[in-house]
Amino acid sequence: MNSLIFILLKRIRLPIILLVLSYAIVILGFVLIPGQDDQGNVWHMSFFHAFYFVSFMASTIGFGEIPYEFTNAQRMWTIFSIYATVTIWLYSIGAILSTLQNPAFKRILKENDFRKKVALIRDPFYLICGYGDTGKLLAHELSANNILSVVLDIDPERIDNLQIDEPDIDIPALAANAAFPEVLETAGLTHNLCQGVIALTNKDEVNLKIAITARLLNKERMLQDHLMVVCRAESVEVEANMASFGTSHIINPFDIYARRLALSVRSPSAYLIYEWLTNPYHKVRKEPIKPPKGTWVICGYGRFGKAISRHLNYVGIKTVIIEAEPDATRSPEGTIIGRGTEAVTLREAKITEAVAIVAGTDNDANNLSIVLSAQDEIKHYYRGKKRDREYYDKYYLKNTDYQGDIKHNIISEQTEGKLFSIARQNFSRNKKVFEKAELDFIMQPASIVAGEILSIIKTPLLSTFLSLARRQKDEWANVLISRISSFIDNTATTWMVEISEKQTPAVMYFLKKDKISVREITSHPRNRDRSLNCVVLLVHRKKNKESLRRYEMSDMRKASKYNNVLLPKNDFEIQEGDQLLICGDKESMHLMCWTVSNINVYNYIHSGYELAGSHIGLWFDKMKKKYNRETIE
Amino acid sequence: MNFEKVSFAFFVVFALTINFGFFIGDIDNPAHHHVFELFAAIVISLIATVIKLGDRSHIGAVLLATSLVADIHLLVAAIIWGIAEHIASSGVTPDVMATIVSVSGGALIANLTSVVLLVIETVIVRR
Repeated sequence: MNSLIFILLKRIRLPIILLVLSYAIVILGFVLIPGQDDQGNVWHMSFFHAFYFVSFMASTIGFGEIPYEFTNAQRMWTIFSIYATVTIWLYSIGAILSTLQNPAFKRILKENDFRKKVALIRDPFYLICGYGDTGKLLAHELSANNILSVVLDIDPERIDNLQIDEPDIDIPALAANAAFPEVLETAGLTHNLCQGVIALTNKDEVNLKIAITARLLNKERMLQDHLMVVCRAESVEVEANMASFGTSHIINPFDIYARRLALSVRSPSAYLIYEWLTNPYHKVRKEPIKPPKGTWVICGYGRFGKAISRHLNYVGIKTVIIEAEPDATRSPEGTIIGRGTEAVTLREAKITEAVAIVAGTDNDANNLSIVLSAQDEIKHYYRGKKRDREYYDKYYLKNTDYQGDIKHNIISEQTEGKLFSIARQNFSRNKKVFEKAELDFIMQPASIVAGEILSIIKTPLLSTFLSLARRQKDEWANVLISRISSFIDNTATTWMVEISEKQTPAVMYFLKKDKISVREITSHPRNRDRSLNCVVLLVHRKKNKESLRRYEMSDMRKASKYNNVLLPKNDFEIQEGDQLLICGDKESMHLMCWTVSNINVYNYIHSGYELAGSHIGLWFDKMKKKYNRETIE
Repeated sequence: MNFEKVSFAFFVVFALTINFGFFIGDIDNPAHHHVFELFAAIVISLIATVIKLGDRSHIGAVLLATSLVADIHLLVAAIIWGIAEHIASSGVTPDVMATIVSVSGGALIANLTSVVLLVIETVIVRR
C-alpha cells in the first residue's frame, strides 16, 4: 500500500507545484492591482477576497466580479489568470488520470488488492499455480465443495477469465510468474492456513521450482504433514526429481491414464469401481466397458504412447506403434513410420488385424483423423470381405484364403466393423467434436489431473482404498459393484468419517460404555431397521503400540502404522480413532452426519427408544426404570 | 551538483527564512508583521512540502512531516487573520496579531527542524 501512495505522489509532484505557483502569482496580482469600490475610492483587494475570486475563477465556476466591479487593469489581469490557471488545472487532472491509468500502476494496484485479500483469508485454502484447463476444473470443483483456493497464472488474460468463470465467489487471483519465490509468498505459501500448493503449470521445470520453494519455505509444516505439495509432472525424470525431496503427490496424467487402461483390460469391474469413486462429475455408468484383448495399434510414441504401451505390454497385450519421428522419440524396433492419419500407414500397421486403436499424438485434429480413418479402413475391409463371401457362396467356390480365415472371422465376429478406439484430447475447447466422434474412451489430461487432485484433497483415504482394490480379483469387484449399484441411480459420492470427539461426538459418548458396530453407523436415523444407501469401503485404523513393536521385531520395513480393513462386515467393531471411507448417495451422507453428531438421534439407533433431553425428563425416565424393576421383582 | 538537490535545499531554507521574516518584530504590533510576508511564507512552505513528496527514505518521511506541521501552522495563522479582518468586526487588534505571530512561531520551529535535518543529511552523505 505504501509504495502505491509514494508512486502516485511522485508522479503528481510537478503538477501540484505548478498549481501552487500559479495560484500564488495570480492571488498576489489581485492583491497588488488597485481597484475601485462603489463610491469610486481606491480599494485594494485583501488576500481573503483574492483567494475567493481565484478559487472560483480557476475552477471555471465564475460567480462574477466580487465584491466590487473590476477596473480595466484588474480585468486584464483576470484574462491572464484565467488562461494560466485553467490550463494548469487541466494539465494536473490529466497527469493524475494518466498516472491512475498507467499499466504499471494498475498492476501494483491489483497486486496490493491480491495481497490484502490473501492476508485476510480466515479459512483453509489451497494455492493453485497455473490456471489452464486443469486449473480451471480444479478451482471450479473446489469452490463447488466450499473449499477456498488462491490462483496464480503467468497469463493476465487467463486471470481475467477467472472472474468470468467463477462469478459467484471471489477467488483471489494474480497474474505473475509462480517460479518466483516472492510471488508464491505473496500468494500465501507461508500463510498459516495454506493447506497445500498445487503446481499445474505447463512447464515441468516451473512445477519443480514451485515444489522446491514450497519445501524450503515451509520446512516445519511439511515435516508435520500440515502442508501438501501436489505437482503435475509429464516426464519421468522430473517426477523422480520431485519425489526425491518429499513432494507429497506427483501426478503424471499419462501414467495414471495408462495404468487405468491396463486395469480396465485386466479387470473391467475393478475399473468401473475406480471410475465411480474418482470421477468428479459423478456420472455413473452401469455396465463396465470391456476393452478387447488382442493387438493394439498406438499412434504417437510420445509421453502418452510410451506410458500406454508399457502398461499394456505389462498386462500381456501386443502393441504396434506408429510414429512420425522414430529417432527423436527413441521408438522400439518394428515401429512403422508415419502419422497414422493416412490409410497407407494404417494398412502397413495391419489395422484390420488389430482390435483397438489409440490416437495419442499431441494434436487434437490428428487424433480425430487417425481414429476416423482407422474406422473407415475397417469398414471397407469388412465390406469387401462380405462381398467376397457372398460371391463364393453364390458360385459354391472353394477358396483356401476364405477357409483359412474362418477362425479369425469367428473371433472378431462380435466386433466386426468396429474398432475399439481411444483418443487423447489435449484441449478442453475441442470437447464437442470428441464427444461426437464414436470413441470408447477419451483421454483428457486436464480432467484426469483435476479428478486425482480433488480426490486427494477431499478424501485422502480414497487413494489407499484404490491401491488396495487394484490388487483384488475381478469377482471381488463384481460383488462390490452389485452392492453399490443396488442403490445408486445417478449420483455417487465418497466421504470420510473419523471416530473422534470432534467429528462424531454422539458415537464417542456411546463408545465409552458399549461396543459399536458398522451396522449402527450406517443405519437410517428415521428407522433403525433400515440402513442408509451406502457402503463402508474401508476402515483405516492406527495400530496400537504393542502390535507395532511386534512388527518392529520381525521386519522394520513391513511395519506400516495402519491396519486397513476392506469392506468390513456389518458386525465389525469400531474403535476410537478409526477412519471410515464410505460411498453412497448425497442424502445418506447428510443423514449420516446427523446421526454421528446428534446424541439423541444416535441413542435411538443404538437403543431403539428416544432419549429424554431435559433434566426432568431424565429423572422421570430413571423413576420409570426403577418402578419397572421393582414390579418385576 | 544536482539541480534537484539545489532546489530542494533552496525551498527548505527559503521556507525557514521567510517564516522568520514574518515572525521577527514585536509580537503584538501589526506594523511589524506584513500580510504579504505571511502569504509568501505559505506559498513557499506549500512548495517545499510538495517537493518532499515521494521520498521513501526515513529522513524523507520526517522532512515531509515537519513541512506538513509548518503548513498547518501557517494556514491556521492565515485563517485567523481572515476571520479577524472580514468576519469578526474587530479588525486586526494587537491581541489578534499576537495570536497570529505566536502560531507562525510554531511553524518557525517546524521549519527549523526541517533545516537541521537537511544539514544532518548533508553531513552524513559527505559528497
